Amino acid sequence: MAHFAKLGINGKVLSVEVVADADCQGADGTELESIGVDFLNRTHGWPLWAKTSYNTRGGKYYDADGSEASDQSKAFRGNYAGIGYTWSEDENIFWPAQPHTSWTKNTTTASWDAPITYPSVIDDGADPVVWTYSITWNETGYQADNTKGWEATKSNDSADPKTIHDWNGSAWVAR
Amino acid sequence: MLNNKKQLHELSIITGTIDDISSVNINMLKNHVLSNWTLNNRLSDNDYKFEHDYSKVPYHQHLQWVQDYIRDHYRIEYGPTLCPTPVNSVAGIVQTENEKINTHNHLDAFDLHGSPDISCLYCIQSGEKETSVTFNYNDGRRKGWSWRVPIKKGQFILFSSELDHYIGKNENKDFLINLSFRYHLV
Repeated sequence: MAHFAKLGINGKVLSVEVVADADCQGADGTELESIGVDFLNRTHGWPLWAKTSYNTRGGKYYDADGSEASDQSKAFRGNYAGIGYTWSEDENIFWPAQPHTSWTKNTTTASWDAPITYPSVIDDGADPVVWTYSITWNETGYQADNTKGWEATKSNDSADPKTIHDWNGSAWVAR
Repeated sequence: MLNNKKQLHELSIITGTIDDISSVNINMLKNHVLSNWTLNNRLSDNDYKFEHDYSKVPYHQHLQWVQDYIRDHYRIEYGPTLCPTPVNSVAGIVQTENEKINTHNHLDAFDLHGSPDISCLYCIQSGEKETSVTFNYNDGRRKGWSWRVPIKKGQFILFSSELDHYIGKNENKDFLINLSFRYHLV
């Protein structure tokens, strides 16, 4: 079974279709993307398609049991395409939608990186964990002050409204 | 302080065209609609009903491709998926010279469950003299408003199915041929 993303003229993924292996193979049994595309063009009346890998996400290939494959040469085009993703022929990657305007592409992980590294402190550090930080990105806050962006509230904070904490690069600071 | 605004209801009219790279052959569709129209196979034999002006159109590959195109592009732009209604999801409307389609909407008061959310008019033949579809609507206390959209070959018009509308007189010798699709929003 092979999966192909149907692309709009702007490269946006419109849908993902499954094609039998036999419909992607030439007379000699060789599997070629172009043969699958020809098949889809005939059946769907639409010429723009790109093959996508069901088992690839974040630039890595995963085995059927969900574990990271030892052979990463099978990783294909960054991510399994989804509706709304964008196909970049130059980068050979299916990109999910950009989460925030300040985030940039990371072609190694086929994902978007925030301009500030994700906080390293995510809970109280106890064992077992008692409370965690609910962490979100505040784009407006980042645009106003480029040293800030990640903010969080504590899961056990019963105050209304909850106290917001800003990540300063090494620790959370109550606002 | 204003906290939140919730849009409770929306009436919309969306126009679009199918990209040239699509394999949809509009002439094949025209022949398909006409061949079924000549069989006089109407959606309703009751000439009091607007469905009397609508002809049944069986499956055709290119019809499916049109539906696929509209569904895929609507979903990527607006989110929900357009699913054809279980009954009478496709029909043809053929207007001969000087013929018009009277005001109607696509909601059936006796079958609201099966009535569509969104309807579509896809023009597959139009003449030199312009014909339009006119939508009538109310906007609160502003009653009796209208919005007119010219019908052009190759253009589709998606609109809220509850909108009253009529198609003006075809002033051309050639037939004005439209396809009508009805969808549920899922």
